[in-house]
Amino acid sequence: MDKKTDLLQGTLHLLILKALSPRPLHGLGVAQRVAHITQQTFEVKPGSLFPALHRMEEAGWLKSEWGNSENNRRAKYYTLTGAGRKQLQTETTDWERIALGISHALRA
Amino acid sequence: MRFFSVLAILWRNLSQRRRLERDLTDEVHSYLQLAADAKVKSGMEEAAARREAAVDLGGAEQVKERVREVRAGHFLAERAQDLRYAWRSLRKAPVYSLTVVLVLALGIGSTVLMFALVDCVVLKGPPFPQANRIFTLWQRIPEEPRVSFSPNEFAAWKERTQVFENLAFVAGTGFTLTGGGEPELVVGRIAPPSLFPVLRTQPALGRAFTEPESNAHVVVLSDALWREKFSARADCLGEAVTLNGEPYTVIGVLPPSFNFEGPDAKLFVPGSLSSPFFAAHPDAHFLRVTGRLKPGVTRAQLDEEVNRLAPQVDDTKGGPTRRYFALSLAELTTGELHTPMLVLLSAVAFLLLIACANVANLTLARISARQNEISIRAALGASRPRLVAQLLTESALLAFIGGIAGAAIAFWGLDLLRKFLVQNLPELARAQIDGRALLFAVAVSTAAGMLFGLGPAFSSSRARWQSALQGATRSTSASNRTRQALVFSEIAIAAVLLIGCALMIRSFISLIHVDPGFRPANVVTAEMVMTKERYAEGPAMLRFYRDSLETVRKLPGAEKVGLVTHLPFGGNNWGNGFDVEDNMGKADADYSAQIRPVSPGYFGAMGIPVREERDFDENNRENSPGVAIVNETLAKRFWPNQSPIGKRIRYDKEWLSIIGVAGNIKEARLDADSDMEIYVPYPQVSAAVLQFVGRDLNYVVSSSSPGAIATELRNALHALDPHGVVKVNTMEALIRESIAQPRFRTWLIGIFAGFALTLACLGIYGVIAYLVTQRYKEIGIRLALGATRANIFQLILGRTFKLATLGVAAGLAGAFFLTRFLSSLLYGVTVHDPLSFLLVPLGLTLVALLAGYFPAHRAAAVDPVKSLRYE
Repeated sequence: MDKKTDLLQGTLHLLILKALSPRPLHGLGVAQRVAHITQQTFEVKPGSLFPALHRMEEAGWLKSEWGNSENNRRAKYYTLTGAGRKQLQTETTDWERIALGISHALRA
Repeated sequence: MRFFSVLAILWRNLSQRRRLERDLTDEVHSYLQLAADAKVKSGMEEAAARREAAVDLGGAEQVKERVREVRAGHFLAERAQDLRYAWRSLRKAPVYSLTVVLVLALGIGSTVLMFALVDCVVLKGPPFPQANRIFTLWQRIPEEPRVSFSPNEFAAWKERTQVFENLAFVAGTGFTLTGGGEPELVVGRIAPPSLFPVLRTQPALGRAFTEPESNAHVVVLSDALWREKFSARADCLGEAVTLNGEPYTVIGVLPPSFNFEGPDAKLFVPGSLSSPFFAAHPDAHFLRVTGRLKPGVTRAQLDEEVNRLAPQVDDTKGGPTRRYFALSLAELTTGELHTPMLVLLSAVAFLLLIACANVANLTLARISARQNEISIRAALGASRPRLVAQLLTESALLAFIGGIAGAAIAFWGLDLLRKFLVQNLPELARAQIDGRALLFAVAVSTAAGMLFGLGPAFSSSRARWQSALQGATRSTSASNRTRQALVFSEIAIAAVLLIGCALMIRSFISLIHVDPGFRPANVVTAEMVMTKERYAEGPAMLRFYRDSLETVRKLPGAEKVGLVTHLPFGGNNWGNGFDVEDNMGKADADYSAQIRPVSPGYFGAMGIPVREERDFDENNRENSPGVAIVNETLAKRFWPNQSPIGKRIRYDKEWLSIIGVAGNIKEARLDADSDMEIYVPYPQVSAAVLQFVGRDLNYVVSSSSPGAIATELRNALHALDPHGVVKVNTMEALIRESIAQPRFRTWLIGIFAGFALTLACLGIYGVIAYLVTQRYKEIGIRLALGATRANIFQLILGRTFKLATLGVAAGLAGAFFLTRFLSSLLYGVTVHDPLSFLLVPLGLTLVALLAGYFPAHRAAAVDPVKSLRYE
């Protein structure tokens, strides 16, 4: 699918965790929020989004339940679990370390 | 914790598939709606918004498939799905599925059946702990391949042996079991108490006899006798039975698996060399020696001891022709069966290969017929590995069902075989479809499934789906070549099997046409044993001999009557050393011959020609000068250029003058040459020897109404001795029994070859029929362009002919090299028997042409107009 997300396979999980950290969202909401918080750098297509959401749910980082959207459509909402928050922290720390390392490397 | 939650998810995914699927569909659907809503909100037309949202989604099915792929347990779910799909699609093609299952079941079933037989005979060995440590000792002389030991020799060996931890002898003898109904003749064994430690086997009930009981009147029963005579009562221990008129106490019952010296050994009584019976015959060779090697002793050490001890124990004159040797118990009991068993196993393996080739062919045809369906599945997103997996699942499912049906066939077939096997081939009676055989069945089915499934699955997945979808190709020429190669190998293998079968049949035919040297037709025999308690001494035995013979001679309908102690094909013989007066003192004067005490008239009743001089008569009495009749082999050996009449020989103390020469006869096997034979008048056998070999009387009566005479014979003998046991038989039946084994294996290989032929024909038919369908259009064009129907017929049949002759030629070449393994099983034909090597190829080609005839006929009947519209 889109090369950007493929290249940054690990970051997709991090972005989804981050997008869900303030409040529960449905699939489309997650995609929109990721686009918003990355300032349209990443566009997450359904073909990557749904497999990722389901895998993360099986990993115990998210849980899902059906609810109603603002314009009264039924939608499946994903919520971060305790394990998910911990995972977000770990991945954030990891990412920051990597990013720091890379930027040092590039500046050297 | 993590582990359990994974398990829980796995369980959820597998058990709540439907709910999950609905959930996923809803979720994707809701995503679409939300996306469309969002687009409408940003000012787009409703319809356009929906269309664009769908395009953005990129195909709901593909998204769902990608979600499924990441689910835990996805692999298992996929296999389960494949299995369900396979089951559905196989049920939609019942003819294909049933044919495949049937063909596989036959192939697998016969292989498993043969495996069970081979396992029992070759792999498992005799039913004793560490049976490979049990060895038997024998002597060999030119006239007899296996001579037993004498009491003196056994005692000497036992004293000197260094390699055996225990050595025992076994002597066979008949017992009259009386008390409780009809007296019965039971064959038993006399053995020292050391036999049981040698075999490391204890009775299932009670105990075996111990050293202090070496001469005691105790008896250990076989399981069969226990069931038959004691209705399997556990409280029979300690009961008394009467054997040969003397009371014995039952002390043990052997386990059912106990099989030592065959099922006819119904009871064991203790015996020691010091008992009067053995002490009276210290030089008679009638002890079969069995021993268990000490731990760590090798076969080479055993052979070394045999060579070292032989000269020390040899109580014969130490002729250079006598050789001592050891045989393992397995070699002794089933050695002769190894080759036939392995040949038959190879035959079924060939059959299974043909079956697999056939099924592979069917599968190829089916896959090419399903090309459209497969292409659609590929276009809908099924990956190539997934398609191969799907096709393999179908093969695996078929192999599984075929395997189960095959195991059932093996069960049933073994049951059937056992019914007529047990008496004739006791070694095979133990065969059973057990865990090992079932494991083998699983292995064979798996291998078969792979063999016929893998090739077609991969070759089909190589095909180009698009072109298949467009209907441009029906089948590639590559798969056509595969198909023909398969049929080619089928025919080749069938040719090998059929030639092997033809050789066996030819061999069997020459076996049954062997002239036994006597005339078995219309000869009835009756066997009766004079027991020790009623006929203790020589005079009593002689009296009964004369009286009974007189009675039998008077029977109405008895045309010629004779009597012999050791009846040819009767399962009993008496080999003994003898001297020739002319050759006394020569270095190699160690001869042995079959000795048969007979009555006057024996030769006439059996139809054995007495060529020189005359038969015995009533004047050859116990006190008249000793006489003998020898057979041609003996006469030629010692007096090649002169008449043996008047020459003198002896096997006991007294010299006997030869008064006649009898024709050679087959003694126990039709395929063995005649031994030297010495016939002596029954009354002239010394009382001591008569005690030992003269108790078994076989009346031989030739009559034109054998059925009536059998009953009369039995009644007359019963009237003379109400306690005697009479066994009536015919010479023809005895000879038939002796060839049970060759008949059995000829039948078996015949059945396998028949299957192979059928399968090969089905294969040819399938390929040619397919070819015709495939070239339907082409045939129509040819016809339209002026080809005659005969041309078309020739074209198709020519194809068949080419395929058949190529296969047959390869088969002939293979058979030429492979039949040498049959050589030890063949009698009267060479391994390259020209008739078999000529007729089988001709016949097979003819049958193959017949299989191709029907499709060719159909091709010739093609309507060109219809065929051109055909698609």
